[in-house]
Amino acid sequence: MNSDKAYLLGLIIGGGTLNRDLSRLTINLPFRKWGEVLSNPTRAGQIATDILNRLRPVFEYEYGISLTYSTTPEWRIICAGDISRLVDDLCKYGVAKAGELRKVADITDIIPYLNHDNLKRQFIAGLADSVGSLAPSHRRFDDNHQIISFEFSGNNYKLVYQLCRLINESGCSPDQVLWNHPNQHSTDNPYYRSWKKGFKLRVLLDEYTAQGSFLFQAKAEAAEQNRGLQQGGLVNTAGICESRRINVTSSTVHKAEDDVWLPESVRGCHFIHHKHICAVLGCPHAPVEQLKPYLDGIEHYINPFPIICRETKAKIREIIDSDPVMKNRTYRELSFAIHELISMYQDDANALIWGEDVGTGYPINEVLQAIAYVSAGIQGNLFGTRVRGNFIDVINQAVDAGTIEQIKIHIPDKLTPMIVEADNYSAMVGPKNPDVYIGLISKEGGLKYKVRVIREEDLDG
Amino acid sequence: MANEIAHYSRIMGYLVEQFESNFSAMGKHYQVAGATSELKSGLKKLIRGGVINSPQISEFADGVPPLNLDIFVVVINDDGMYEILICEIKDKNVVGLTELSQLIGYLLISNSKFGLLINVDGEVSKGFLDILHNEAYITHIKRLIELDDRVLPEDATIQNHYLGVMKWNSKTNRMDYTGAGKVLTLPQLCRMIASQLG
Repeated sequence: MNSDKAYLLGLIIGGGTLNRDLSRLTINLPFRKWGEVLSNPTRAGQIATDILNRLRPVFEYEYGISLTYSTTPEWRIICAGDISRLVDDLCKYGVAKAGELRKVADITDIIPYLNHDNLKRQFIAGLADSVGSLAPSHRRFDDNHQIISFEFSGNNYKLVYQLCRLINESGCSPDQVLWNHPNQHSTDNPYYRSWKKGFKLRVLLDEYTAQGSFLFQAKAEAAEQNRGLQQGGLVNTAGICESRRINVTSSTVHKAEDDVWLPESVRGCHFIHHKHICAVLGCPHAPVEQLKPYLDGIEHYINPFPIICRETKAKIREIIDSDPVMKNRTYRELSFAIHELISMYQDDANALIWGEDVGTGYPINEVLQAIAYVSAGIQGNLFGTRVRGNFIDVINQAVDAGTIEQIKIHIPDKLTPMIVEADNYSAMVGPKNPDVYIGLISKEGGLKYKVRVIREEDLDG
Repeated sequence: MANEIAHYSRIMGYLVEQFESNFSAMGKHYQVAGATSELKSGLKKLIRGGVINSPQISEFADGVPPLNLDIFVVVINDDGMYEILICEIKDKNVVGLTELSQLIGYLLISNSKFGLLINVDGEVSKGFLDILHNEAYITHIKRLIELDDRVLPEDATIQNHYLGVMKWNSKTNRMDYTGAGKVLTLPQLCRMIASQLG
């Protein structure tokens, strides 16, 4: 190991793809729009210079490999000639596997060789140059908190976990890990199938640039440009994970929690927060003490039904028909005064409505979100299933336009999801019912919790 | 001139960090220290401050003539044996033989084995690159040291001097390699130093 090899290993694990007989290596750089030749010619020129003038000498010296590149469909470094010396090293470190290395690599055998902070930082720099996204849209809350986001597709939880720990050990605290899990990518809708949106390991750019680095000048310049968007010379720090404040909101029990695609370490479990996954994976930096109060009352933070599910009327009907607990209900149409609902929300955004007992009912926030969704649908003001603009404004526009009259609310005879619909748009909102939901939860050891499917008899208790 | 001085401290810190990490990867626990000052007084200051400790380097510091260097890095093993890297920093559009000659002079005077010519955010002239590629002796100098006039040349000690030419990138705050010269990369330089120190 040396500092240049540490960098190259990071770069190769981030973007490398080995063919079946381990004789060819390409390194994909998923720069997308950020590095596109047509839309960003100056940056594209810089990337080419980085590959040929900065990266190539390192590859040539360490492994006798020359580099070329292609730019379509995305940036790709092509390792030319005999790569056997490199493959020997990859074998030594246990990462010589055919396919996309970031999806299959386990860096357990590399970590002991990264026995100096600088070696860790060089390894991370290689990953930053390959999968570290610097799109200015990566930010926390606003432009004043710019982010570098290490992005991985696939289900290699172990690699993301290992990288996160390395970042921590190199003196930098990751801001957030978005795990490639249904509880992270689809917290509201258990029927959403396109939840595999990848991992995003987000680090505040100020922290990263203070401790980490880039070999690619294009990346270093983009990082500085993004930091320039922060007002007044603000320098952000995330604070150590162990003492991070946690805010948990309710999440739906997703149909894919048992998906065999998920690794065993997380399969079959429900997670209420990204730090909950960190803790279950065994990260010593996970803020377990802050998680405990939420886990002790986990029935308040899970919902076996959708939190909210926005669809077409036909799709919602299909969903209801597919589940006896919802299909076997009698639904009655409920008249409602929209101004009273808005007033209730403004008094207490967490209020529950149309419940059976104290602590049960439909969250007023989600009820109004559902009304806003169908209102926006009627008004042609949807972006996919998202409402354009402030949802209360959208409802008020529907009131002014008189279209609010078209909206119907259907309430079931037991606490299962209610339905809001108008025209071809429909949304379902799941109730809060913690005394029932607690019976669905089983503790699987440690901090693992499993939530089973709700059945008719659960609602009769 | 002022521009290059602004980079001395960062480049020195970078070099020390690269050296420490690469020696650590080799399992070597050398003392590594750098300074951006005149060699003689700079070494004495490091010794007085307890940053480095070796009778041999103390003896060297006493004997070496004052040399106004941009950066030097000293590496010392457990037995007190040492090697010194001298860096000549330039902030020019291109560097060439003139700048390398200055560095060679420093190496000869101080009897240091390792030298790096570093151009900040600049290039290396094409003609100079051709020389570096084609005339290997220009960055690997073997000097006969005749300690006594009566010693025949074949009995003289050979002192090797190894040089490299690199570019400091102030955007990435790291060294870019030119792929030319005897010293091609920093890990290679660390291996060369380790091979001297054992």
